[in-house]
Amino acid sequence: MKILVPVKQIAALDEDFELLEDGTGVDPDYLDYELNEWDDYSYEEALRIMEANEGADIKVVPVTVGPEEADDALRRCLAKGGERGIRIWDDAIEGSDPSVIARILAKVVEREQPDIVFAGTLSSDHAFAQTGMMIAARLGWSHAAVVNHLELKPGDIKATIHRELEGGLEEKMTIDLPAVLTIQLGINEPRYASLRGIKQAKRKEIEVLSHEDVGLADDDVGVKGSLSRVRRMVMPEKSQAELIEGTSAEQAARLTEIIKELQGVA
Amino acid sequence: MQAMSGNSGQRSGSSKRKRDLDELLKRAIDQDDIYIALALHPVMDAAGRNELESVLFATRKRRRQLSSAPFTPASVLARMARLAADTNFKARLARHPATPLETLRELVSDNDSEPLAAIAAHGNATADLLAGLKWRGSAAVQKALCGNPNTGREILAEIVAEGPLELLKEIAKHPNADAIMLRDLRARGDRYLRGEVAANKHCPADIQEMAEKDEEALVRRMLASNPAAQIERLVRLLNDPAPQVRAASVRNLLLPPEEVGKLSDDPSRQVRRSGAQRAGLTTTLIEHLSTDEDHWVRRRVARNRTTPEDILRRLAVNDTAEVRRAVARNPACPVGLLQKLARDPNSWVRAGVAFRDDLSEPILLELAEENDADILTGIGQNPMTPLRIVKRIAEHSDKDIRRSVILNNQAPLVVLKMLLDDPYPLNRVILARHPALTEAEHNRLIDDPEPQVRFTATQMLVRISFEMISAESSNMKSKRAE
Repeated sequence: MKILVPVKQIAALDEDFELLEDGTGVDPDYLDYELNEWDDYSYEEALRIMEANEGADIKVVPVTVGPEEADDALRRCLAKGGERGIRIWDDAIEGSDPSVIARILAKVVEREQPDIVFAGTLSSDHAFAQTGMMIAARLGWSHAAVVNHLELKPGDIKATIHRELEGGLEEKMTIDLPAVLTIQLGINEPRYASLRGIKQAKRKEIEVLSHEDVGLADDDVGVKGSLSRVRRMVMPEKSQAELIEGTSAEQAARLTEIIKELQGVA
Repeated sequence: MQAMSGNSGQRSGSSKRKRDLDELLKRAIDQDDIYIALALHPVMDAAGRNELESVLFATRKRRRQLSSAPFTPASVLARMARLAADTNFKARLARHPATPLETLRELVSDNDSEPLAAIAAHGNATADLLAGLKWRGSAAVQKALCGNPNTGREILAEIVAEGPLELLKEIAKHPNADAIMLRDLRARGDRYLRGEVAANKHCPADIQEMAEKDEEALVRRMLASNPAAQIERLVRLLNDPAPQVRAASVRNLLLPPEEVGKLSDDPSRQVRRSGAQRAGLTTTLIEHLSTDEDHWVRRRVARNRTTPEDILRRLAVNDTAEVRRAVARNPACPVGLLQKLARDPNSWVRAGVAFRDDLSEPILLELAEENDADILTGIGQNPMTPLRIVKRIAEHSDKDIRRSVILNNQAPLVVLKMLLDDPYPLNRVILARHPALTEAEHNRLIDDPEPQVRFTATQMLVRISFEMISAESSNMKSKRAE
């Protein structure tokens, strides 16, 4: 059994950032990079299935689309388990939107032939929440989003899942395999990598592929292949936040007013 | 670096220290490790600092990150101020709490109001620096000056003359606002301003008199919290119709404890709660409050160090678990009573006992057999816990329980070594500061993947190195004296 886990190195904003002069994004000097939180959970879920079925020859493979620095995200995963990772990147991929990322990952799925794909429900930087579902659409596989419980063993032809809906409601369902699931936070408690694991991960194989390696043409990737384009990023002039000023007594009085307003008392 | 002295002992110590620092310097450069470089920078000579700065200031992104990182040392901030070109960068440096006074002086520029406002608010800015800042025309600088306790009276007086109400309130609570200023302020504002004036320790007696009669309870409450209030006034305020005023008066430590007794049956639990935590209460009053219907009042009596033993014994069987736990956490709780509380049906109470360092070994061992996370955390942190138990807790699967051993200052080195590979990064960060770790463990931790661990381990290695020199120097002096 093979579980493919697409992960993303996301950009975290510094507290006082600046936008690029053309307004299409944030000045990279103000960005820090880290593994997407949702992907921590999806990778943990894959590792748990692997560990719960010792001897069943389950392979967990993290895959990412990104430049060399994104190796860090893969190694963070490999430090916890798994033997190899895959990174797809070349200059032509720069500027790709989620539809292209999904196109690339679907090609990796065709190449790797996994039994199931676990993606994060969304990424905390751009929050499109599209990649997982678009991979499934391209492959013609079953799919389920916002999965917060999973029952799956090697050899199963269906998986039992719970999906998180609005208002605390959960949907229990079975899904035919192969499938793409997008995993929700809280499905498990992700582990911390051991120091030994971190050292070992430095020596694990990361296969680097170009868009051509996975069978895509230049026009399929990057800005050219994308269905959407970021025109401009702006900071809204007015936010809903209120800065409470004045003396401590004034601030306390205003806070009391707000609480009463929210409770519908005032 | 210190110059080498003429004696051989100090020479050998200095040589070792220099070797150690050179090794760390090489590591910072070779590995392009900004965290080791940051920890080393304050103790290096000019040449060493220059080398480290090639790592620290290599990119604009690094300089930006360092300008606001909470762990950036003053020496690095001082050097960065000389590289600061744009206003945003200067403002970041001026906002950094570790930026030293001389660097703040260098950052002063009349044209940039953002850095100027940050300097005006800075805790390291002295009265003379603040006095030289141009504040007219900038609301942000004025506000920052009014909020900075180092701002001198003269500037405050000038701002008082023309400032908006918002700033007057800041000035009213300023420690350098004098009686003349406060008298003027009182006449110019709303109840909040009158309240701040009444709470200021420099508030003159005639204004306090007016505040005592003020129709707004807020003003009277602020007066009751004044650290220089007259005792007679505080006693009178105990009869105030507003409970918040009576409570503030009871909390004021100038009020003699015997006066608190008058409020033993106060209808407001807020007042009784305030009284229950005061030291020096009469036994009769403590006795009375220990049966109060409000469990917060009973809790505070149970936690009060001056509560007599017989009352603690009664509270140790109180229906409310929080009250029993407060007894367990009271340093005056006798050992015999702790033994009883160690078998309390509520695990939160037993956890309170587990933290006590005056427990008998049998009780410690009994509690160590529990599975409750709070109890095990107390046992792990307890300096009296036997080695084999500490070892067991250090191997626990729960990262928070393992951390309790790291927080135990008496934890032996043999156990701490087990935690050098703890998978939870925060545990290793805290461990790196443990006083029992030696040079060998810190040398291992500077290879840690977590930047904060490497930073702390380097700081500790530098400290050990300096302590070694200092000890050798003292030994030589003692020998010479003999």
